Amino acid sequence: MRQDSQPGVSSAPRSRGFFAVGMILAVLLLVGVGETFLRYFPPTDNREYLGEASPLVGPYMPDGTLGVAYRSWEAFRDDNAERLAPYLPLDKSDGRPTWAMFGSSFVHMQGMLADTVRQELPRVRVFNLGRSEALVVRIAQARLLLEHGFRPERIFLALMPLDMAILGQQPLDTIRVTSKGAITYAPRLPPAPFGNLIQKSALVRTAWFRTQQHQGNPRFRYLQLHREMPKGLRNDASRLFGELARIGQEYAVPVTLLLIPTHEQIAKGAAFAFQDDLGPLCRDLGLDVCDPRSAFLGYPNKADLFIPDKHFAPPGNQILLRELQKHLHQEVVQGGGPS
Amino acid sequence: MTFTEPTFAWFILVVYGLWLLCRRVERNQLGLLLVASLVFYGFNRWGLLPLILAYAVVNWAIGCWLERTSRARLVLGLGVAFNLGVLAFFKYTPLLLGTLNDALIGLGLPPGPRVPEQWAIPFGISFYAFTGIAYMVDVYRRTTDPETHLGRYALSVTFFPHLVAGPILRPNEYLTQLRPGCVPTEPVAPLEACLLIARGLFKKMVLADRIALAADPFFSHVGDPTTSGVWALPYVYLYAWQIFFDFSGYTDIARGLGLLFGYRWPDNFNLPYLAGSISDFWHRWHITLSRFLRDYLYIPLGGSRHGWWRTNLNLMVTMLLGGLWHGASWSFMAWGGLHGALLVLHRAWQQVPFQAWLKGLAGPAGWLWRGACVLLTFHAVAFAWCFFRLTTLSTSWECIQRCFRFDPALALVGGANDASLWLTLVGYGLLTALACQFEVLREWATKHARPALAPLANGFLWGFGVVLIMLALLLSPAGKTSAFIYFQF
Repeated sequence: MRQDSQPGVSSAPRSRGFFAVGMILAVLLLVGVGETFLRYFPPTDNREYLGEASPLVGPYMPDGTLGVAYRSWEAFRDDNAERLAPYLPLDKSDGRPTWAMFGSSFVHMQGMLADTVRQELPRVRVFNLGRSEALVVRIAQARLLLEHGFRPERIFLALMPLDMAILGQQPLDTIRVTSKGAITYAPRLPPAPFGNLIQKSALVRTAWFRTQQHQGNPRFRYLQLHREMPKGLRNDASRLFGELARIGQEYAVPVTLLLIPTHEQIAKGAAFAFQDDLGPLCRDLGLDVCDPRSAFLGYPNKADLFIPDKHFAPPGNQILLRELQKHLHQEVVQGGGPS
Repeated sequence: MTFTEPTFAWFILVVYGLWLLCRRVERNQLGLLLVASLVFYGFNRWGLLPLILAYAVVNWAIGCWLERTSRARLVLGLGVAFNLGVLAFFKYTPLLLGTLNDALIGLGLPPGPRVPEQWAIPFGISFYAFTGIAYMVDVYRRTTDPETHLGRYALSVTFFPHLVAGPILRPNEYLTQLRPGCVPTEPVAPLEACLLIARGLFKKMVLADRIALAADPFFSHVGDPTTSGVWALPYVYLYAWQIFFDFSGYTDIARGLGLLFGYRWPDNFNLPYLAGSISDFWHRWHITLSRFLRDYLYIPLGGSRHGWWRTNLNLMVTMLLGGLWHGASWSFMAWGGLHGALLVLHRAWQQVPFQAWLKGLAGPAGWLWRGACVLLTFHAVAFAWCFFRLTTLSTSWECIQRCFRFDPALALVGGANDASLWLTLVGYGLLTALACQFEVLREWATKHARPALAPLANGFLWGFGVVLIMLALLLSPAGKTSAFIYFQF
């Protein structure tokens, strides 16, 4: 009988030993395969946090004020070729005043408002680039357009709390534009030694990212904007809208911020901390602010204002436009500029 | 909640932990599992709980009634009518109203009523309706005794691992193990359970979801000029693998969870893309559905007992209804009809003497012939999947045509050109082969009393299973997983 097949106390530790060896072999093999794979093919949710190692490319460059700017006019034009084409050259005019309508996320929301303006106010030419863009990019676009001769009658920036959510999660000082022109973010890392391990291992890094703790403010939830505007976000808003106000004044183009209330605020009674904080802040910076909340709150059948995905239905967009026109008329009466 | 969501991880930890504590007391164990299953089902929509409970109560009552009545056929008919009627109401009302309205508009008449926008098919209804029918028919046929305890029967229907997308279990595969004294108190084959769960998670989160990322943009634009000239064949192959990994991944997890609670359930897949004929394919794909359709539809229709033409008719009806069971659109019915037609064609081919000669070939010629059969079957199935993936007949046909009509410069573009995708598929194949080798080694070593090799192989497989679960979470392409394809049925 073979020595190692004899039953007895001595065979159990050997079995455990071989078991452990087998387990270590499997762990090393699979960890090696996984580590190699992730180094060459990082998951899509990691790519914004890989800095220069990110495969993302873009038309941007770093900017001291906004964090992001376009590398050049050509880069911006090529990135928005199809949607910008009808508006070129920028000084093209059909005799109608131009309203430059910018929104941030939710291209459908901003698109529907722009379409409502086109239908209801044919005397106005609407400039709208569509496509969801981060707020910083949208303001960078406005600045670039004005620098290259675009002179709308007025710039409108439609803003909802969700548009600021990305800044709430990733403050301006975490933005890193790579040499390939992509917008990435510096990941939040735990202290050493775990932080060092995250930087060295693609597997550990991915695990950290999947816990969502890598974000600049991992505890931020956009719904808290109904209750309060965090101090860091307020500072970033001051920087961004301060720049918007500056370029508006520099090129003598009035800028109106349209603070759009959310479904939660209109139909569910959520508070208006976002608008209550941002409105006065932006007015102090020199921007015109339109807050149409009372028209929505006073609407008898609030469910009619929304489509199932909580964007505004036509009645909602019509109210927005009506309130905007009333606001602009008041602005003109008070000497704020052309209507 | 689904198996791949973080919420489910917490759920199973809590439920399994409680099960380990109370499994020795049968009543407590069954109560725990029933409550947990109802929480699992209701978590997405609590309003659905009355529906599944109604199914459980009605089917249980029918089962008890069948034992006592002299009009068993009528009672069975009532039970089947309830199951299919409620299923049809939720699943096919939008299709029927939509078709009716299209016809009315085509005739220049005003459209009829429309289904509300919030209409949703209760998830899992197709599966638990069929589970109920199988129970009632087996009681009627006296191949199983009716369950007298409502709670035990309700658990057999609602038990969360198999509730939403199968396997479709027969009473003797699960219900009989819930009878007094039969309820398991120990997990069965924990290593196998770990490997099944690991494999299932990897198949779904890494393979199926990665293929979806690559292929969905193509399938979303098959009907429009955006994909003009693009070669559709790579995407057709990709979808064939996506649906396999998605559904078999779900089944692996379901079976693994069943093993953890002490239940061994039949496999639903047996290397389906190695089938040598369409008939062979249906013995390897969604096996529990195939046998359900065979035993509860095809055979009651007459099966193959009434001659050539009637047999083919029975096949077509079975496959058409099987297609419709999958989804409420004419495209699904076309998919089923296509498989029915292929089965009929296969039966006709079986009658050709030349076929028998080819089948009898040995050596390299035999391998070539069998290889050709496997390739042909795979392509037939893959093309049929176009009707499954694309919900209109026109885009499905367009997709098939684009497999043969394309611009060579656009042969491999878009997601099909993603190297990471093909590497992942190859890598999975190699890892699976390696794990199989260690399983063979373990069995050989145990059988031949090799005290070093058996624990080595055991340790390897345990490490493989645990790390594979971790890799499934980390190698998933986008961090978030999509719903299982079969959850929509």
